[in-house]
Amino acid sequence: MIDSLSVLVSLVILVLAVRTLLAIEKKAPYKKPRVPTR
Amino acid sequence: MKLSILLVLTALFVLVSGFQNPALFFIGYLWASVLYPAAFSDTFVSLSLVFGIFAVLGYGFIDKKEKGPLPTVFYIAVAFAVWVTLTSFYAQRPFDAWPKWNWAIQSILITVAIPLFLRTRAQIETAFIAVYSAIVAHVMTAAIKSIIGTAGYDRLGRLMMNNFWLGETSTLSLVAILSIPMAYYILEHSLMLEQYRNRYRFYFRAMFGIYIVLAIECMIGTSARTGIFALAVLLTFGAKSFLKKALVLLSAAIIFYFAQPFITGRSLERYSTITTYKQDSSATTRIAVWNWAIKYAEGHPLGGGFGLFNGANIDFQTEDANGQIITQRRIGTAAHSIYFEVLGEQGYPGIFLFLASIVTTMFGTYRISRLPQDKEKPIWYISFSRTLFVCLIIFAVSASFVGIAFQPMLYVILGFHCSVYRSVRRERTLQPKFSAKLGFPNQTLNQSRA
Repeated sequence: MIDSLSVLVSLVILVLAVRTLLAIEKKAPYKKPRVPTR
Repeated sequence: MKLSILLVLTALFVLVSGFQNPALFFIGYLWASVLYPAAFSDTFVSLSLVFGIFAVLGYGFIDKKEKGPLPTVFYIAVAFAVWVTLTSFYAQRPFDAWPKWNWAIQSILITVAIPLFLRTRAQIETAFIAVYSAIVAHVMTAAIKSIIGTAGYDRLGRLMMNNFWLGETSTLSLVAILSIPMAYYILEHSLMLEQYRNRYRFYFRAMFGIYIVLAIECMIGTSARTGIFALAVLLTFGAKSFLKKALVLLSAAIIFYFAQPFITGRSLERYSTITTYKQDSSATTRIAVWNWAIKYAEGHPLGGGFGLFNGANIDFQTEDANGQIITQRRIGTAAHSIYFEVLGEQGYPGIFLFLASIVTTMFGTYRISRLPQDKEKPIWYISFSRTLFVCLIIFAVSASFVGIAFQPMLYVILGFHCSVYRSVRRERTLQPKFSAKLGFPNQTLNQSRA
């Protein structure tokens, strides 16, 4: 129970950090840049 | 089982996110290396192996615009990796040497890999938070179990119930204290929390206070004397000015005086052996092992390779309760110090490279941390280097009593310094290394590079 709780806290911190990094560095190197159609 | 599913799902999330930002493959590798989930859950496959493979494959897709010269410690780490491989070929105990080489080389290469994979402030800080989050899982488990009463040397309930990495109580207590400055940086300076900092500053400070209590409770729960040394170093070097240092030390002494009745008797008994070490076989074994390593290096200047201490034949003397000296013999023991571990196993060239990597990083982080700070818009790498400097000092002093020279923690700190150094050199020219002045002239600052 305590183990799971601690790991859960740890995982939440990790997921939030990853999401923030993705938000800060919005880039997808394997995607072609979008070209406006109009 | 639920824990395993949770871990695998999180790892999958990081892995999938890696396709958007390939630095995340390496960040996942760092997280898995520090958390070491294989020791307490069944993740079906080795997470660090999966992340490692994806990180290598994803290297080609990393944005390499952010370049800069690498610090000396990067090249020292490469030389050290080559040297430990060479010593493994002529190791005295090859059956012990190669299994240890297998995980030790992965740790050393972390220093080389971090500056290559992590190039921007956001990536460096996310990796820093990932490492911290992995430590939190171990520290919280031990701290809560210590609070509810399972504290004690070798009997504390931990996340990893074996005697390796953060399952070993001395290492756990050291890393718990070392994570306090990490938590401070993340809550006070990191880019990730920047938008919430002004609004929730009080809550962040409260969280930091709670974490300090948990980390110290974890340290007390382990009853390991290494933790006391780590805490003493943190209190001495954590605060910058002399007045702050004095205040912090005084407050710590007052808190200890009033908290003493609440500290478990087992821990206090263990700590009291610091002054009566002659009666403690664990302490006298250490001194005997260190003497043995010095003598061994005199006879074998190129070292005996990994696993040398498993075959060490050591005589040591202890005092019994009546003050009588008793001689005891032990065959095979831990090195009980990073410095003597490297000296015995890697010889004089190994200890030279090892010390050089620590000393150059210490100077490097210190120099960057002494750059003039901009009060209007604080420069992130100054605070970050200050944190790395404090972490490194804590490690270098406390690990004098634990044989963890090849565990990942040290190489993670060295690696972060390499990455930060690159960022600094991209933005400004450093003065000569041994200049008496610590200021940094010329060069336009481009501080908010993220």
